Amino acid sequence: MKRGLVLLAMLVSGMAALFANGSQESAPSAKSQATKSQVANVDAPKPTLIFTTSKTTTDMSKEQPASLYKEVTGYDIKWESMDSTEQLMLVLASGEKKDEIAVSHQQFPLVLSEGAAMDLTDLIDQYGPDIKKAVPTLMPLGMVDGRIYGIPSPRAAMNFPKWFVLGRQDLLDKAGLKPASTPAEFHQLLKDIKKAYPSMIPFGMDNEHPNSHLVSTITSGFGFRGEWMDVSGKPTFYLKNPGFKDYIGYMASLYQEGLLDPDFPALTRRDKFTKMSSLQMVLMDDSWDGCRTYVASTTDADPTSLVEPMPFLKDANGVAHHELANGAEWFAVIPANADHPVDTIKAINEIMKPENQVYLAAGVEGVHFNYDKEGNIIPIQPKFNEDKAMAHLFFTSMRSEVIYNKIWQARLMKNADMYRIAVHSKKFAEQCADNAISPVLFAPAVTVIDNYNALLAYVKDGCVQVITGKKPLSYVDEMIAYWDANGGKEVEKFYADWEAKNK
Amino acid sequence: MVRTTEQKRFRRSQYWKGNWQLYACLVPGLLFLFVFKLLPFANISIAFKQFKPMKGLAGSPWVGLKHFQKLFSDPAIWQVIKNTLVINLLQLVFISPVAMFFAILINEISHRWFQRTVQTIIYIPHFFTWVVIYSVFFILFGSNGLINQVITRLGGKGILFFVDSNWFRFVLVASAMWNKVGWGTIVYLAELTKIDQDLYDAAVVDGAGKLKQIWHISLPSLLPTFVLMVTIRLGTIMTDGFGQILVFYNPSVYDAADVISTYVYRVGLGQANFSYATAVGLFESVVGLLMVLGSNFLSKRLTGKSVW
Repeated sequence: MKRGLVLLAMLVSGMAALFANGSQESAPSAKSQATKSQVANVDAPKPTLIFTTSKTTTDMSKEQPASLYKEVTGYDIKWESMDSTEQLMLVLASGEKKDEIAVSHQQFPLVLSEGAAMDLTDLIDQYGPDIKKAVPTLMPLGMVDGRIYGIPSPRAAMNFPKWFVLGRQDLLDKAGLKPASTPAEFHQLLKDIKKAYPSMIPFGMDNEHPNSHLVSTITSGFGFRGEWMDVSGKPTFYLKNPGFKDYIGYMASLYQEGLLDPDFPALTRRDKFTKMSSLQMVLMDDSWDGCRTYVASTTDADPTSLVEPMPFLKDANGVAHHELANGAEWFAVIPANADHPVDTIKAINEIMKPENQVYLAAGVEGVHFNYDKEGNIIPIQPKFNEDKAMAHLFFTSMRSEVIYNKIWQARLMKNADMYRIAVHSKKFAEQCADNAISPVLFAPAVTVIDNYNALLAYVKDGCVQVITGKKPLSYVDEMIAYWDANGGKEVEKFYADWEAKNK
Repeated sequence: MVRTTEQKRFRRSQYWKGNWQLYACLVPGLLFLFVFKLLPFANISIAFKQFKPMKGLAGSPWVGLKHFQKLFSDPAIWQVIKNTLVINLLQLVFISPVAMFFAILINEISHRWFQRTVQTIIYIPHFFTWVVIYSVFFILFGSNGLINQVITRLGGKGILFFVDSNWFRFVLVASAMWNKVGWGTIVYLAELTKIDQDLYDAAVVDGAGKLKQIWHISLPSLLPTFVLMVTIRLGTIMTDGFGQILVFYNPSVYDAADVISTYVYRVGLGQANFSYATAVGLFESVVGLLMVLGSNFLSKRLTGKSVW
């Protein structure tokens, strides 16, 4: 009997927990209800807000900035990681409660087309004066038909190249090899690397980030940069750029000749780093921001190693192309079903104040950093790294364009290799005769079709299949036909119209 | 003797008093079925609507069979269905018989400590996540992995197991075997312990060796269980393998590895086509139901045993 009662108690408590969770999930969700209830409960205790950031495995609650948010905003904030677009869509579709979601610029149109973003216009007018001051030029990027649906966040590395070819300069020097300046020279360089280091992979890529198939150092050699570029005076998607077919054919030939890592379609960025760190790879397409990971571990494996970026290749006209990083990278979105939009806007408003941005991301003057004569922020080590090494995770979608880039450049100094490689790559970008922003950078999010992300994913998958030889080069024409038939033309027109109006 | 109503009532109450704990144990399982299998039926209509999560089911417009028309005119879907069937059938063919074979081998080990050690070792992969298994297999089968190093050192040409569609299914089946075969032996080992030892003793007296004992006693005893396991597996043949394939595959092997569940995940969730994904999922469920009915019927005809 006693055993039976224990069993029953366990069952009842298990079911109670299940239903307790369920009832939490099914709380009323309409925006108006949420706003009304907040107005009605002015004296009610402040809620705990749930903010999401980009993919991370770091336990953000244990990082030093986490403890400062209550002090700055007056709210307890719980930070969560959003790993993928699939997870984002699951959260939105299931009605899971979040107060703020960090949405990438690729995901933003998807969220808008699903009607999942709350209209923030009135909330910002009423409770967010500092939000407006923080993103004065970028704000239109978060707007549709004059209404604000996302608070844009500037790119952290304004005017620095994001992706480029870098690699083992020490090995190139040892073999007497010079960096290439044209696609033909790059091809020869990879062949020479293979000859000099037959057991190593001459050039590595991964298949993780949305444009990993477009190696900007190499696309430069074929006359294009980024996703969209003006051709004959109108914004042109890369698939239709005159140089694209040659580029993809060139990449396919590198793959066929064994000069490009044969595993790249199966690799994440981290897998690629593992290959570099285990001394299997000479060159790779990556960024300054991964340097902390792979440069240190490569140096551990080979103390003589030196990782350096390579220059952008010149095209047939002798011009190198680089797309300047600018505009908005992330958006702070309040889901349409959020319960505490007023509190969230108030909290974001505090976070966006310049003095709070400095406090949260860089620390306290004299303790974590000092200002130099030009007003630049210079970190004081080791205190800066002890407290602020992971502060960027909190700043995915709430950066002030007024101050954050200055903070970011200080944060770049937290790792000597990262700083060296970023500054070096910027020099190469500045040497490009065509060094410009994307023509559609400041256009609003694409809402004329609701499958823009699907189209981009389709084209990327097709490119990987052509590079690996799964599809012939002629498949590019099929991709163009598919793009045209499935909404690509509407996107082209949308951008062309916007450009015509805003030139 | 005719029982009175009171006697019947008394016996029933005695029965419940003695067995209610067992019925209580059934509740979580029933609750699970109700919440995760029956409740979702209410949302089947998503397949017939242009579902927008923020508008809700009622607010989303009705589009009838539009998504099913798209499904059957989508050139990718037939390849996806073919992949689903081929990969799962390959796993079915290689996993269940091999598990049965391993169980027989383990059963024949006479040293108890060795038998237990082998069992423990082969059960371990069952507890690894697919991410861990992927890492192990990538180290072994990657372009620079151990297997390729052996192949190239023996003068052969390296094989791109993770990029070449002709080899990718081999990786899927091999990794699934590593994960599932050991665990799959449990049910067969349990069945082997139920075989009357007198049968083996009689066979020995009749001069039967080990192989003949296995052929004439062990295998026939395991056959009904084998058929039952295959029947159960057939019911999930359209849905199995999602976690494994999602972790293992990449665009260069979509033609060989994209199965219904990964296609639904990519196209449905990744690209917010919830209604289309539900239509594909509904189609998948109907085919799965037909397969389990068919296999149950066959099992009944062939072995006299069935799931219901």
